[in-house]
Amino acid sequence: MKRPLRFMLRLVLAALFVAPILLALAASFRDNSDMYRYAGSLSLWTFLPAEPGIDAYRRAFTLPLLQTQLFNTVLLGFVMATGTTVSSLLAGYALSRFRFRGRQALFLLMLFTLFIPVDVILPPLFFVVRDLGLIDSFWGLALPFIFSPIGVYLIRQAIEEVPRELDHAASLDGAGLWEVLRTAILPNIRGALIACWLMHFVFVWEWYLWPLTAMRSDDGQLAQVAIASLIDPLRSTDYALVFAAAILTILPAFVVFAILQRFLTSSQATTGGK
Amino acid sequence: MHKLVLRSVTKSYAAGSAVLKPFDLVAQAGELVVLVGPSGCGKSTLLKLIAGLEKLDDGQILLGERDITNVEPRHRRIAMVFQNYALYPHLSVRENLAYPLRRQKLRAADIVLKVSAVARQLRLDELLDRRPSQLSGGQKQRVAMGRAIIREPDLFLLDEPLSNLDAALRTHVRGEIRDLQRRLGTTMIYVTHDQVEAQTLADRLVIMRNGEVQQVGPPQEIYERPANIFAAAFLGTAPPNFLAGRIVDDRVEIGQASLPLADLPGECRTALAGREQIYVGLRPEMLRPTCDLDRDHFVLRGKVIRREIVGNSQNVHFRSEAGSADAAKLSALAGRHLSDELVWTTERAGTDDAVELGIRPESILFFDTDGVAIGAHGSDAL
Repeated sequence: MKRPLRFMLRLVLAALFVAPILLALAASFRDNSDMYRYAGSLSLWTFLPAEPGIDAYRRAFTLPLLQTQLFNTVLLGFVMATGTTVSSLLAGYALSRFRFRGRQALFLLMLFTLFIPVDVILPPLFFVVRDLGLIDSFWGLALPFIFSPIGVYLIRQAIEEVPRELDHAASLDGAGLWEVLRTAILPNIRGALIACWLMHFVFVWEWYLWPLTAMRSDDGQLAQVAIASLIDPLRSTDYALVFAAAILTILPAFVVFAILQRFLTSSQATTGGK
Repeated sequence: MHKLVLRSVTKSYAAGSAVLKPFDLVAQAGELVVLVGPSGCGKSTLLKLIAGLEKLDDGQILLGERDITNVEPRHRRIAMVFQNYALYPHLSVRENLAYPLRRQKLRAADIVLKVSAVARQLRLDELLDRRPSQLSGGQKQRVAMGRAIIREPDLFLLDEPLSNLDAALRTHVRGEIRDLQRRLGTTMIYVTHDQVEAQTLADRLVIMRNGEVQQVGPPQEIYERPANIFAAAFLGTAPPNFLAGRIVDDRVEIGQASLPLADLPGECRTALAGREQIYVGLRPEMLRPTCDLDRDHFVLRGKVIRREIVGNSQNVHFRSEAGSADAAKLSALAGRHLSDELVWTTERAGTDDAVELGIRPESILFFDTDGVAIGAHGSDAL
């Protein structure tokens, strides 16, 4: 493919992904009546604010629970990211390095769970969490998903890339199983760990159905779910407010991603043999 | 100084396929034992068993006074140098050297002292702050050695440590390893598939094939009195010329040539008497033109096919009417391809196209049809 063509293709793809966010951003700076006024006929002002203002943000900040709910989302993001990374690291280490009967089968079985949509297991999951007395609690949201097949897969593959001789050398040099993991493997899979952490941090922003089901108190609800309830089909919705709140909600994820994305290089472990 | 004893160690991966058949070995304290054999002969597996990186199926491993059969690798007090060095890529040379000491929870001041002592010893002072990826092959090798010696282990295991170096460096590092081992006096098990490396380093050689010991002994002894065709073919720059022979009326007949049994050393004579089919092995470097020999000997005549010049010596390939019988069977016994060409290694520059070569009777190697040496078993007791 020629260069300009490739560039154009990238531009189009990027635009496709960014456009909705830009539209939301533009809409958040409008007045609500402004939005309805230009909705009928297609013009530039259908998309862009005629008189940009931050009134919508002011209103978003006065929403009684939005800040608490945003905090919930961010906190859940950190907990889920850290929890899945730790559990994936331990599972990945075992699946890559320990020899036990049924290891391969276990790995495949775990990957197979990827093909089951959450919607399918939602009712039984709800009953289990309810019976544990965790409905309407933060841990009720977090615990069922703190183990991630994708994370295990990612980290197991990264550990597979670390030569086994490194483990062997470390264990002869006096390291136990934990020390091998900590001192010989961990430093060489940093890229995968950060990728795993970041991925699961951002994943939380996509949660909708599960918190809607398992969290019924407004205090504990996640921001993205709460925002959806601002859309009221029976009355005219304050879309400017909805967009402003949405933009505020994705801001933390955006910041964290911007900080960490430079670490997303693949881990390059060699034994120094080459 | 610690002695290593392996008692009937066995190992198999899948049921029925033994990687190591019952294996016995004693490495005396301070001895450098080289395990040598073609790839897949089980020598690396054996090393992993000694290190504790693999579990043995049966048998016992003793190091000094300790039974380490079921001891975890980290408590065995064994240091290993890997083929690819296995340096920690994320750590500097300094930290690579310090790694075993940190695991022992040594005081920081002691670690600094020891690291600098080892660095001086192995000429690594200048490299201490580099990462392994910034080192040359030879430097990595020295770091790997340094990491092995720094905690003063009871036993060194080296798994083909020179195979990633170029030829010139290999000879040099080989000498360094030998000197280091002598100086430290630590028992060392060294694995290689290179017979030159094996012969130059070893106090004693262990020749292995398909998980079985073929012969154990000092290199010179194995060279002179190989226990079987495999050992004979393995040691030496070129394998011996193997010929089929028969014992007829107190004479060894090989093709049209023949030799009275009376000319052979006594032990050989008695062992050969009463046999029929045999193989003889003539080392290419032991052959001499008949005009140089003072006595009547076994004589081989042939036509030269081609010549290879190697430095000041020359490999003369020739075909003889004595020929080699059954190259396929001999190749199987020797574990390598043998053609029906014969080879004469000589330092003479000009050679005729027709050669007439002899060999001293005591230099002839005799084997039975199963490839086992007749009369002169060089294998010492385990």
